[in-house]
Amino acid sequence: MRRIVVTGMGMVTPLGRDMESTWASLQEGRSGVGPITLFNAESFPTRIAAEASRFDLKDYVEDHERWTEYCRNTKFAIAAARMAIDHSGIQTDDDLDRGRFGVYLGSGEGQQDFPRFVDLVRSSTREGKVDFAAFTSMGLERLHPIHEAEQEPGTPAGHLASLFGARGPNANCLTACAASSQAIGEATQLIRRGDADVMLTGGTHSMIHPFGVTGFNLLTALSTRNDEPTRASRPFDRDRDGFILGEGAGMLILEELEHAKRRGATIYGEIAGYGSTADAFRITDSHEDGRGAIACMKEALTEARLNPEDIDYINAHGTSTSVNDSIETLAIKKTLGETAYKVPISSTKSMMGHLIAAAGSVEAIVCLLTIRDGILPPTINLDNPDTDCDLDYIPHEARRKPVDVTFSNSFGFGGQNIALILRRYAG
Amino acid sequence: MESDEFHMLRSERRVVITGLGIICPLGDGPESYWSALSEKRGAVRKLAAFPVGGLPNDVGAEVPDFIPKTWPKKYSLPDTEHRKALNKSMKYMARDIQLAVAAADLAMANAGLVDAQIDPTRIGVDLGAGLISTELDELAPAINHSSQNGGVFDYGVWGREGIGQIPPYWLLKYLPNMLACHISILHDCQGPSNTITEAEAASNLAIGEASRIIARGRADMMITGGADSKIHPLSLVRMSLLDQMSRWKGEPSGACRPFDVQRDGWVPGEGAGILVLEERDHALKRGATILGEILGFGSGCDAQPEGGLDPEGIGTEIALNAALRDAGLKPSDIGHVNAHGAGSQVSDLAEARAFQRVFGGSKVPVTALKGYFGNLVSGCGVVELIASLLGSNRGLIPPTLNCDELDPSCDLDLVRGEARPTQNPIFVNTNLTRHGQAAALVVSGGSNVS
Repeated sequence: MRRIVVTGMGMVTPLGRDMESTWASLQEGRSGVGPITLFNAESFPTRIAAEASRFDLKDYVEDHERWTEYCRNTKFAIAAARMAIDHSGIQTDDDLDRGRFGVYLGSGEGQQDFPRFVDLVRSSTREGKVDFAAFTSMGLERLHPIHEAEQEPGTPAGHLASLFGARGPNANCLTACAASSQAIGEATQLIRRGDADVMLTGGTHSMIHPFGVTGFNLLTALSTRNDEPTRASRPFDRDRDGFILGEGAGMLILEELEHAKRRGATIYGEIAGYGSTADAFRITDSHEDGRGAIACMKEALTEARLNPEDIDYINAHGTSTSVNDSIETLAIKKTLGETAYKVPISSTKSMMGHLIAAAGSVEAIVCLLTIRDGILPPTINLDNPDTDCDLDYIPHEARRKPVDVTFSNSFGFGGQNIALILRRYAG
Repeated sequence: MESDEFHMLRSERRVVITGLGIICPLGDGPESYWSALSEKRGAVRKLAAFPVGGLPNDVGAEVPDFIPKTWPKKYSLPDTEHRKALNKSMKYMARDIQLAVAAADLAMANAGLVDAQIDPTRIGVDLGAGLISTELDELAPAINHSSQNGGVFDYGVWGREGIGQIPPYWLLKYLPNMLACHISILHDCQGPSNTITEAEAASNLAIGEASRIIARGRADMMITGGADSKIHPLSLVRMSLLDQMSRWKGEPSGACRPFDVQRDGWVPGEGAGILVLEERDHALKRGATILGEILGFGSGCDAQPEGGLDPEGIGTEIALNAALRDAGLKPSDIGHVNAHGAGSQVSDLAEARAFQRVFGGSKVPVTALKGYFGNLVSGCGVVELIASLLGSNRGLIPPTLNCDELDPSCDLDLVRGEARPTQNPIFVNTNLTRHGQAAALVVSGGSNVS
């Protein structure tokens, strides 16, 4: 069976302009949460988020001016992909059969052009209702073609293929907060089956925009701890009150093992297991027994041919919502049995917030870095663990521990569950 | 690839089609759909859903009489609990979701799965879906309330008072993964679940991925396909801003003209197509009717340095070759190609050139169906696949509409006029996005599956 390894990684997050600066912040237990600056959120129920505040595409690519009007998702994706490819050492011109180099992303939808859109709706409202003829005729004059086109979630996958000459399989999945983990899992399957030798995979997303915050506030999913931004994301804590929006991108180069060896690539780990399930329960809630989460973790273990005792670290989905953290804890216990109490677990969302579609890819990279460096990032703000959250969540401070096998969980609205097992490549 | 690996792949589980559901502008079942195709009755008309102004065109292909109040009675499974759950969830469902959910019910009934005892952990969902445009009147009150100060939008008012005027579940109604999630809930599908959001390539990618999931043993059945509705004022504006919309000034029915010299763009459409895929032995054991088999899947991308389409169609060529290799077939084994045929200048030319390079002298018959129902975007792949499947099982290739004068630079054996008889039930279905992302499937009609 073809084995799939990771040979390159790149990310842009609220904690850093790249992977190493993000990783350093995670080890320090630094929070990236602060007041929202991307738009005027002063009166919103939630006024805080984890923004990639210093991000500027010109720090990453020369032809950045070409991308000025493109959405944040695309810019994050380009930067992270550029860094992942450089990190892998792949020379796209020489090392690759372009027809066997593909892209599989889990990118979110681009943000609606809020100022133009609300102005258009207002201008075309007649007696309380939108006049569609007025909307379309004014829309043609007032909306920006690129801003509109960029909302299609499949566009970053197209842009990256163009930039890096990837003529192989090309896809984008969008399964809410599980998307980029799912993309990594499915990209792995494409290489395993022989459709490609190298895949650029991961995700990119920002929902720190008026409609994003509005939508999540309506669902009462976000923390409203506006006065204490750095303490707002507190997974597994008794006083958690919702998640914090983050933004950014994580990109990985997946490569068939022999292909990687032939070019003498540095191998950062192996994608050993992938599980995908649906709760098939409710649109708004997770299944109360963690049915789907358990099944997908078990599936990943089976595919990796590993036992619960083999797991050294779990990067939890750990959103800091009441329901997720309790059910995820339950699911980990049901999957791992007694071993669950011995495995260190952390939620890096406590520091960088929830990158939604991009979350899983960034967290998978964090798992690979724990393998590389033997350091486990903490769950910050875990002052008083909730009564039903009684596992080892690495509170407050990073911990040293040799790591060979890691789990990365991602669960999405609608009952989407993904688990990945990333392990040290040991020949 | 090493030969032993190739052998391993060929020993995979076989994936057959055992159910289909269709709700598209041409019909709401295999019979009505096929009748319209064989009688060359297109559905592109002046838009009826709402008036438009200022756009290059005012035509589209709509699914008629599809409204939340009545469609469950027509399409949903005849199970009281199921219908109750469906009606309860309706408020969370945008039109795209409703189309998919309705077609999934039709597909499950068609597959004989109404009362079947199937292991819920062995059935999954993998769909193509698109960006769903929000209903404008859901947001208008909040926007107008927040714009009272001389028409200038006030974020403060929006945050304090506007947000509360929007339905609480607004966000969930428009998430593209909700097509699959509602279906998984209504039919208790606890297996793998994915949603591919890659515009016109989406549903072919989803079907290919779903077939692989069954082939590698992760599920025994998958509900797959896709749905989309571009009959929305914002979607029409977007299509126009990208200069994709047809400017045809003749009869509306002639507005989308695949491979015709006068082709000049897209027509918006809507609809859903859902397939039930099943591992072959699983299907045989329960005595299912086998409608066809997924033989191969491939994907590729133009990857032009400056973006957009490659006029040479390299991405389509890569996808076609990959799908043929996957199926273990030669180009000459293919009975016909169901092209993307967007009806735009570059896209059709690119496809024609890719077909020439892949199929060379064998000059495979080609058909393209967007003349009937425009561009269903995320749903186009599966809706077009179903047309070829229905045709194959009747020994016919459905004809292309509106190609009155074949573009001489598209040197194709285009099936025009009447449906063309064929002895070969194997066909290729291919689709292409404006970024040059292509996905192709090799499918065999039922009569060849033994």
